[in-house]
Amino acid sequence: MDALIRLGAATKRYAATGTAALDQVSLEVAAGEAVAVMGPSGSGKSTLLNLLAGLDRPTGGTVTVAGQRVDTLSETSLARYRRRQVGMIFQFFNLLDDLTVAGNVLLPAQLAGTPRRRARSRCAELLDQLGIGRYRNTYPGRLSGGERQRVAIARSLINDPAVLLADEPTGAVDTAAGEQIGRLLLDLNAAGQTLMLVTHSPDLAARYASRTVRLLDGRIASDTADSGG
Amino acid sequence: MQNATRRGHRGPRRRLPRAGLLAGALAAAISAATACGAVLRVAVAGASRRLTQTVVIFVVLGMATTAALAGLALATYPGRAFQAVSARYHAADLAVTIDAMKASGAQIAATRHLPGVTGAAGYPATTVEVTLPATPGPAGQPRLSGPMTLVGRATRAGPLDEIRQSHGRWFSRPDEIDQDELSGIRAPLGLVIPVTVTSVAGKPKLTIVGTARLAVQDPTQNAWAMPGEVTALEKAGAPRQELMLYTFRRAATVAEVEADLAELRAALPAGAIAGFGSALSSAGQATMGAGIHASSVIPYAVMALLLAAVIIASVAAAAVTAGYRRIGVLKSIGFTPAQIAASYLTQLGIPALAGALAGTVLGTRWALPYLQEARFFQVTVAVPGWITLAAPAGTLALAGLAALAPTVRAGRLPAVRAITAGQAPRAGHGHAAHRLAGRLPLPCPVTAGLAAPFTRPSRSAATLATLTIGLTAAVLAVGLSAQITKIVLSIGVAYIDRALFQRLTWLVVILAGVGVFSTLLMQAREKVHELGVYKALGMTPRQVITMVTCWAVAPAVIAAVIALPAGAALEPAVARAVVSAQAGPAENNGPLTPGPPRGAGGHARPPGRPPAARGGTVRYTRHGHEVIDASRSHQRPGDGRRPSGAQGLFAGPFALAGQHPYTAAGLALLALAGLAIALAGALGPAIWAATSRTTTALRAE
Repeated sequence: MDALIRLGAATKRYAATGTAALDQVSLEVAAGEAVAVMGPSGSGKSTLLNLLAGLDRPTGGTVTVAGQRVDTLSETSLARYRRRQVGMIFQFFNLLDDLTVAGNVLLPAQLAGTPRRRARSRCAELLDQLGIGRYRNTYPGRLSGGERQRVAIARSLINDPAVLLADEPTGAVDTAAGEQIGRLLLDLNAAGQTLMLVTHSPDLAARYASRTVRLLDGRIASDTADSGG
Repeated sequence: MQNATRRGHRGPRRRLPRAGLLAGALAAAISAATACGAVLRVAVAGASRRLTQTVVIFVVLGMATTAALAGLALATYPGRAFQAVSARYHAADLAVTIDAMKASGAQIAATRHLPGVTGAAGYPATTVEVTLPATPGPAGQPRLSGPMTLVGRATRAGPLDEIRQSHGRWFSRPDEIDQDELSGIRAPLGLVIPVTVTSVAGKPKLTIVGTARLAVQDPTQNAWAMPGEVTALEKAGAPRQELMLYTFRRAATVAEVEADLAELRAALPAGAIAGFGSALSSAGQATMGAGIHASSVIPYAVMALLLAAVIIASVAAAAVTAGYRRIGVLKSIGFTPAQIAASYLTQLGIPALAGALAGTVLGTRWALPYLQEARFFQVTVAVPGWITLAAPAGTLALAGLAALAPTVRAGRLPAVRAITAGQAPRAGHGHAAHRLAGRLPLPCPVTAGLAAPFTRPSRSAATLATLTIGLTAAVLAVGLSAQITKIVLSIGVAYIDRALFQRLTWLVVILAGVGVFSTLLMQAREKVHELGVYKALGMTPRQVITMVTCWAVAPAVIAAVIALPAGAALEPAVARAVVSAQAGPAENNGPLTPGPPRGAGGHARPPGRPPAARGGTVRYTRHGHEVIDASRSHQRPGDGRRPSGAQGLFAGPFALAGQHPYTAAGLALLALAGLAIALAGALGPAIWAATSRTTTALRAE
């Protein structure tokens, strides 16, 4: 297996509490895999995702994504890494209310220095694919939860990232919208997009991921391939 | 027994309600005290948790109180100094030089018994032309020539005045003289040098052995010698004069002194009074410098107070916005709206009180040196108690008023909205600005930063206000600095201390910087989640710094557009106020302001100031700061061209005050200075934004 993501005994210990949010976690994810990360609150799911996104640094061990040691990068290099290698989808969308839908989606491309014309073309393509093309000039505040999450997905895909990290992507939308978003993620994965999905929902994990990693108290409790995916 | 029982029953029944009331009142008091304690505890916890906010309020109140106290103390100083000087030295109300060729000894002696005169003393005097040799060294001066009025008196102490030796010694031989500190023709302090009397036969030589001063500045006396020496000079051809000192029944106002002078004129032959000096006009002249200080500091004090109000209001609003969730929690556990408002007011009030107290101490220290500058009079005027109380109380009241609206809003905030604040999308502002900025061919962080101020107009208005006021102060200071120099030179006040203007300008500019820092830091904190998103999407720390720094650019540009014309328009107004502040009292003193020579052979005009200053400004240092001594260069010996009276005296300064001292290049530099203040203030918040933890920011709402 050619690992796109490799965690080597990754540990994250918070100085304030002294407890390990993530304790000696070793994990490999191949390119094109869809991995669901599950576990109760405080089990380390979000910490794992933050380490992969380069938003946080491990206190021990290594984090390698697309052949690049993420844990040793400087802040500036981490920012560049996030632009090019990672797409993030948050539970509460994290869209910028001051920017239009197109403005939000284009932002990572602008940061990455993508030529304007190419970025606009890619943005239009993504918005159409996700069924929100007509909202390109609308501000996020006027969209429903499901529509906002689609904007967030479009934004995460604008730079064609190596890995898509989704933190409870259906957690703040209604069931129908959640279903649509789940299918979108499935389609993306089917097209070859590597996906790491943090969820509380066994159903979502079973339907849209090919592998499920369960965390408990910062350690991997189980790692199973799911045939149902 | 029955009665007793009844009484016994009645007794407690009567007492019960009273006891119940007492217990109820006690319980209510305990409850109120407990509630106050809870409010205080919450406020103290809030103040200690939000350290930057606490420090900003402390600094802002400290600076505002300093400016207010110094401004009030200096603004009220001239009047108080004048009163103090007049009260202390009203012994000799008038010094009159009488031409003894026109008035006989008997006529002069008769003036002692005029109805208005309460005391008189006479000394022989003469006016001679003298030449002083050039003196080398840093304090040296060229060869000087001019008139000198020599007064013969045996002792420094007289019945109506007292001469104080400041350098060297009092004469002990007939050919020695002691010079007046303010004499136009004088040797450098501490030097013993010869003087040649050129206007009498034989050109006798005298030696300056010391420098002394009169309690009241009296332009009719330039030097003192033994009476016999004065008589000898008169015998050699010098004009015979008599210096008469008078006290009068009434000499407290210009009109009264004028009436006294008229009484003397009537008692003497026409033209016999060759010159005079009044204590009243001398006191007025000596306090002129203070008047310039007073009228110049007021705009700075007002600007400092305005800045403080803007910053406090902005900090309070930011504290409330940042504490939405906290407010919701407090409400959910039973805090009333009034308690919430009280807790926020107390949270802001603790550092405000500390800052006001610190500002009172600092302001008093600042103002005191300028209050003790009545150097010719040895009068010290302390900062009055009411100013020491009013300045901090006023700034605290101002801060309270500025914070009132946001804190009341905090109290009225619906609990559910407060506790869920940040999770619902905010109504957007500045969409057009974002669209327009997005079209600029500039990097994304720059365009996002330029458009950001329009998304939170109230916060940006605070930034804009602080920058505008700060830049206006800088523009005013630059213009006023140039104009004040010209004005003091033309008015001829004793001295003016430029360090005061520099300090006040720096105070307002630093306050503006603190304002930009605090408003932008509050904005950065409010936008911490948005900043986290930017960082999560790949914005580098440097780009974050660029973006946040650019938040200040648009307000700085708009501030420059407002402040440059505002400052340039304010400058002539303040300069005119400075002149008016002098012209008012001088107009009153007009008839007492000695004019050009009147009468034959005499000198009514003071024989001037050291010719070392001729042709330029004399500068020296005082309290370690550069001081302009305008008095020296202005009143030249024998300068008969200048019209007498206040009208003539202030026509030039008024014209000067109306002129614009600015150049296009200077204004452009000031605009850049405004941008520099803005960027300097923005740098701290920008660095904070760049270094804040992204994961924490993303969780923040």
